[in-house]
Amino acid sequence: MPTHKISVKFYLDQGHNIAPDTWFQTFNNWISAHNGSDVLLDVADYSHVPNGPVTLLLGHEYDISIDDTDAKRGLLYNRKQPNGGGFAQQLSAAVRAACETCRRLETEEAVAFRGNELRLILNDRLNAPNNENTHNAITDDLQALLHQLYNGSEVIAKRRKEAKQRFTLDIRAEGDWPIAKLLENLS
Amino acid sequence: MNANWKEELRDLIPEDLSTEIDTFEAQIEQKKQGQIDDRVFAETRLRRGVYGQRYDNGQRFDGQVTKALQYPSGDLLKGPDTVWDAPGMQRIKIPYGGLTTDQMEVLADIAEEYSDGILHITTRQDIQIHYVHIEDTPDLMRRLAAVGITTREACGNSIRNVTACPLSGVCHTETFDVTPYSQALAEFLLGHPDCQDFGRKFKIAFSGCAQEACGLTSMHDMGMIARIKDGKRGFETYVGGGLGAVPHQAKLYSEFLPPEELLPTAQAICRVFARLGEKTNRARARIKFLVAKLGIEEFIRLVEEERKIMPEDPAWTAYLDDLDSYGEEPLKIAAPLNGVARPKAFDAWAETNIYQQRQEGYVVATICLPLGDITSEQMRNLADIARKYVKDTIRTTVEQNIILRWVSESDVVSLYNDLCELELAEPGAGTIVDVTACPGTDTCKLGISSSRGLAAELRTQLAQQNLQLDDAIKNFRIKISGCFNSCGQHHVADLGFYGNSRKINGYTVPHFQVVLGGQWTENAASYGLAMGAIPSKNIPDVIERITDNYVENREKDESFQAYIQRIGKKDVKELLQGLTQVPAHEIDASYYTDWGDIREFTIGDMGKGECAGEVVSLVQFELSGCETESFESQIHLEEGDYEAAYKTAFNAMLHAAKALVKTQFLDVPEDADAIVEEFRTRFCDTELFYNQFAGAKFANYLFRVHEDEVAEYTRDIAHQVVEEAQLFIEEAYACYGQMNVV
Repeated sequence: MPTHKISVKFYLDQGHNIAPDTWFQTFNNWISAHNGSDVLLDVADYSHVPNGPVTLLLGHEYDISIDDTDAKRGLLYNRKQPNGGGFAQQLSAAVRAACETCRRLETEEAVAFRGNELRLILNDRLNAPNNENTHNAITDDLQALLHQLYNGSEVIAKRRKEAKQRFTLDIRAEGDWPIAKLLENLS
Repeated sequence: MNANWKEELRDLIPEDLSTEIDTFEAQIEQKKQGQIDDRVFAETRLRRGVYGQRYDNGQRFDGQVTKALQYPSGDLLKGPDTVWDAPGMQRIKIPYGGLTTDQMEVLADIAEEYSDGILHITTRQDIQIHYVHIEDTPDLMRRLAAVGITTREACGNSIRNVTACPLSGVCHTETFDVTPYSQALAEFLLGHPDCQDFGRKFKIAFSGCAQEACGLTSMHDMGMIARIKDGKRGFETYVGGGLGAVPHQAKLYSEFLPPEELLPTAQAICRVFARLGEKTNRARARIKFLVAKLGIEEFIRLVEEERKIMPEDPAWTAYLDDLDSYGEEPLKIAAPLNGVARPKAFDAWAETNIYQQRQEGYVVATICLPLGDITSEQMRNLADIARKYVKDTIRTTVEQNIILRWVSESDVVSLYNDLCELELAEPGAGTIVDVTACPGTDTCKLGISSSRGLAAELRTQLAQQNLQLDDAIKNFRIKISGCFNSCGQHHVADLGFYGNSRKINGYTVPHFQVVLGGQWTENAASYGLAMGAIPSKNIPDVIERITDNYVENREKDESFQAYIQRIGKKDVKELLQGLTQVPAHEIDASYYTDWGDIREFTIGDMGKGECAGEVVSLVQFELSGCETESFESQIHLEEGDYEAAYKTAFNAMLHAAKALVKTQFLDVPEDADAIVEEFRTRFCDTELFYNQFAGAKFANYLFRVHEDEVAEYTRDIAHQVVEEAQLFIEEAYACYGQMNVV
């Protein structure tokens, strides 16, 4: 398995102007209300730093952030601890978790996410270097997942080629895909 | 099986560094198996720069109640009250702030993969990353070691990062470039045996001149200012300075210390500090208290006595041969900036962020980082920019910025445009906008009020007013600490603040103590005066009132320091009248939250700080290291590497013997013959190392293995020595206990 360190980002469609304090409040509420077996531990405010994490919900197993990298605001789910199963299961779990988090924000705040576009990052330069070998190694698992996620629609996955970057795929599907629909497809 | 960094980087890491990291990894494993005491492990990790972080005691206040954080590691701890799985901070030493582009890239990578993608520049030229899991630290250290960075002794009771003026070598006012001297001293003292038994940390700084601020030598445990005497280089040397809750100005140790005496004198000072410094009362354990207690004359006498009896070390002067070859080179030829179209905001940026070097045609460009933070992506791209304009002439600064040195003037506009692309072209370096702050309540266990939250707010407000600000205050320094421990260096700012709190109407309200008139220049020549605690939310008004009054009422050319001295505490108090008031909670609840945090304020999240490290005696610490070697020998045995098992087990015994000998003879030589002989004479012949039932049996294990010449390393032979080593170490602990010094 290449790695369990999988990050998934969905981009905002509505809600770009929500203030960092609001995100902080929302994430802090999530910590208060949380009763799962995973650990949510703190919220960090990085709104002073351009093109990075704006507000970060830190956990033990994963982090969630409102992320401005590449000047495109979205929600980044960053898996840190193994989630059980092989790469296919872990990839699927990470995408599902990202979708669930986006959906939760859509129900709690005046935001909407574009489901047809996502960024997938393998946050592990050792086990998943940014090269064709890694791409080939994950292609079958990724295609199977994207087929399910987008119900067989055409999907283009473009790898960032800069050698110093982590393995990163920018994925775009034909058509409109609300997050709720993606979750339905994954169920 | 997945790849691992240990194998991947094997050829790139110096052997000693590699062994150290392997040992630390083994200690992590031992701790998980309950084989190391919490305090010993805490100090062990601190000496690797692995620091605790807020909420690592397993609880957090969410604004209404304190919630337990149920980490999967359960009861496993990595120090007293410090939960294993709780994320921590990794401090990374950057001696004199010197960075290469390769190092910048690796720093960017590790922040991305093990932290939150943010690198934080500290007020002592270190770099910190937060939210790191302890089990990621060995790999993180290997990746840093492969590009020449060590985290060793970044925290704990040790020699911390050696800092130096970031303009060294290019500065107009310097006497000479202090860089190679600071580097030599940092390398010499790193892991030095005489620096392993301190009661507290020890900070060293170098400055190229007396009049500027860059070196801040007056507030350091040991500070050196470059001097020339009779045509020879040397250092005006100070000792016993420090901030913290009780700031001390350093005392003059020597008006002129020649370079050949720099290393041995520092070593002698460390030996005196280790021997006579306070070990029990942590609040009085810094060297400043020892110097104050003894008086500087007696302290100097003791150091000079120590210097005379120290065994000669070739390393004291070896670095002098390399001094002539030290120097930086520009990438581009010097050329003026002629006729290049300047973007709209360029001039404002250049006015504050460009420094004309002593070398004609070259400048230093400051990349002003908000709160000292830079993203991984920015750092990686900044490395590319640096490669385009300069060689590896990059430094971090104590004002939490990064500078590029040796930029050809002709490239300045192009550089500015490139920095704009990365949003790293913020103007205002070294001005009132360039606020310095320690991590405070964001991540520090000791933080009381949000130093970063306040700093961010002040940056925003002051940047908006910048053009309207009077010239008299534009270059003021604002420095903020989250508590009285002064990591934000508030004592040496024009406008300094440190966090505290007040109980009002049944609520705890965040406040900042206002400290005015500290002197940043002349190497932090004097400290500010505390003027009283003000609610956090009123601090921007404090700044406005004080600066307005100064602009209106200062006498001709009167400095801010002189003005504060003249008007005194009473007038300042009057000036701030009304700002101490806190409205009732139901009228304005905002006073009951801190800047940058929406939660109702509490001080319940504070924990025991790790700045002071854990006081663990040198022998305990070294015996713990021997246990790790013994543990490693068992692993070699299991893996079938019998020669390694045998030799590692022998080394474990040898080092345990050495640790005991050190209690009587600090300068025990390094070679095995000498250690065994000293141990035999001092501990075996005297029956100090003598078991009530087994007599000299355990000592004989060491003697036999030392004398044995093994023809073939078989499993049986290795197994025997591995077992004996474990018993020998147990007996060493018992012996130390009987010496009644635990």
